[in-house]
Amino acid sequence: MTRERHPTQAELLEAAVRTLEDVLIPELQTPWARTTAMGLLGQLRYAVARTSTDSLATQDDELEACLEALVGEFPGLRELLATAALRGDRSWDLREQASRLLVHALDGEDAARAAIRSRLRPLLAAHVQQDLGETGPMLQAFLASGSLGSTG
Amino acid sequence: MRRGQHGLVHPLSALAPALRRWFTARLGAADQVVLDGPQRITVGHSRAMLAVRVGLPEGSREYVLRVEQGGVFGTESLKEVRLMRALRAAGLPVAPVRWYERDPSVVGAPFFVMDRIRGRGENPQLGSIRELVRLLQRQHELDWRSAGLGFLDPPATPRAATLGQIDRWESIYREARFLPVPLLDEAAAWLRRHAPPPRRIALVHGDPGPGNYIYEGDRIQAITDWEFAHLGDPDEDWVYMATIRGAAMSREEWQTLFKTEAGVEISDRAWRFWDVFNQFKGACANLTALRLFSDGVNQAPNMVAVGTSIQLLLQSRMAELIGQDREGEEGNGT
Repeated sequence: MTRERHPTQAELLEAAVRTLEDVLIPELQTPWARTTAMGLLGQLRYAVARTSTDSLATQDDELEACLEALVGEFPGLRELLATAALRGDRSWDLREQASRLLVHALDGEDAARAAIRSRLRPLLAAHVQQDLGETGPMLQAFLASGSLGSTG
Repeated sequence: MRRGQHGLVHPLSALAPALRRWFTARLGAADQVVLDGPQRITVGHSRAMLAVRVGLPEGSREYVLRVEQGGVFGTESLKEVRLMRALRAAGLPVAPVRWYERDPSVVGAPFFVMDRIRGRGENPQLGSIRELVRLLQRQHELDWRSAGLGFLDPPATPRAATLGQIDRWESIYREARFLPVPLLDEAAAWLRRHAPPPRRIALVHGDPGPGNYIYEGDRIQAITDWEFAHLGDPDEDWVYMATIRGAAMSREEWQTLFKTEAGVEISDRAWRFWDVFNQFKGACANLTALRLFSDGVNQAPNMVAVGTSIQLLLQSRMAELIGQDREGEEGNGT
């Protein structure tokens, strides 16, 4: 098996993580410099995880399938989706349509609203958890640096 | 030396000559003052906090510069300066604000200067938390009209105060977003449907609790971080303190404290509403950090962490609460 002439993006990022963690952070004296360096460490670890995934495209596929299934089962929802402010951008339009359905499902009781609440809403919540997992290294670095106040 | 990066000129040592001239002009010193610093204080995301010691013939003074970060969390300094001055005049423990500088050329962004208050900010014990609860009640009981807080856009009605806050944060989310966030759109609609009638309109801090005050022992030296203050329902502050900043104690412990120290009781309905609201507000506010990071206005690592993982944590909790509320309604057959 031949090796590429240059290191991969992942190798470069992983090396930067190790250098920052093992060499630079232990030498930093001022609290803000240490806090910033630890935040940077989390940011780089996030970048390492991002090199192998495209979670947005996967989430778009899942969202599209869910919306199509709901509209297929409840054709009346098509009229509601027609009022969504679309831009011709797949990721934007899918989320704009999902927003319309979630807000619609807040009021009243019928099978379509129940389906939105039991199928679309959990999918969106699962996507938040996925994103949270992906960005987890930054949260850990943030907590480790003692930066977590609240909203700000 | 770079401008704009992190909302400040960097490296910080490059700021010293400009700050020395700036303080010399403000303090009316015949000769240049001696400046020690600036040193960044390791707290805060909405503002960069820089500590300086200014040497004068009669002795040295310690100040803190509170520097804007490119509009993080949709806030600006001038309102905070006017409010802090009014609250100090009204007798609340707030640091004296000496100067406001709107010219971004001095340090890279507008800032104001306040006296440095010595004390601790982290890991407060129960004694100072009790005093904080009493002070928050005093703040809520303040006659905001006679205290000169009419510049805080008084709402027409108590209900308009709450709806106005939902509109405000939804608007900030919509301006900052890269994509629609369906769970935030749902939350805004849920909040409008569930807003409880406020008991009264009061001065709301907006971010109260452990971490946003300075103390010595049981005594609070200063309440800090007023950038979210507005006129609204005081329950917003109580629930915020307990749920967003008060993780070290249970909800029941906080409720007992509110009742014994301030005579405040909050219904389950109002608690649920303000819990959802505060998570929503936090998620919306934090999206501004991601926008500023991605637009290159402020590319500090804390901005991307606040705008992604912290924002997602708040969004997750918010969605969970709304889901629980729906389950409760269905369980009650309503």
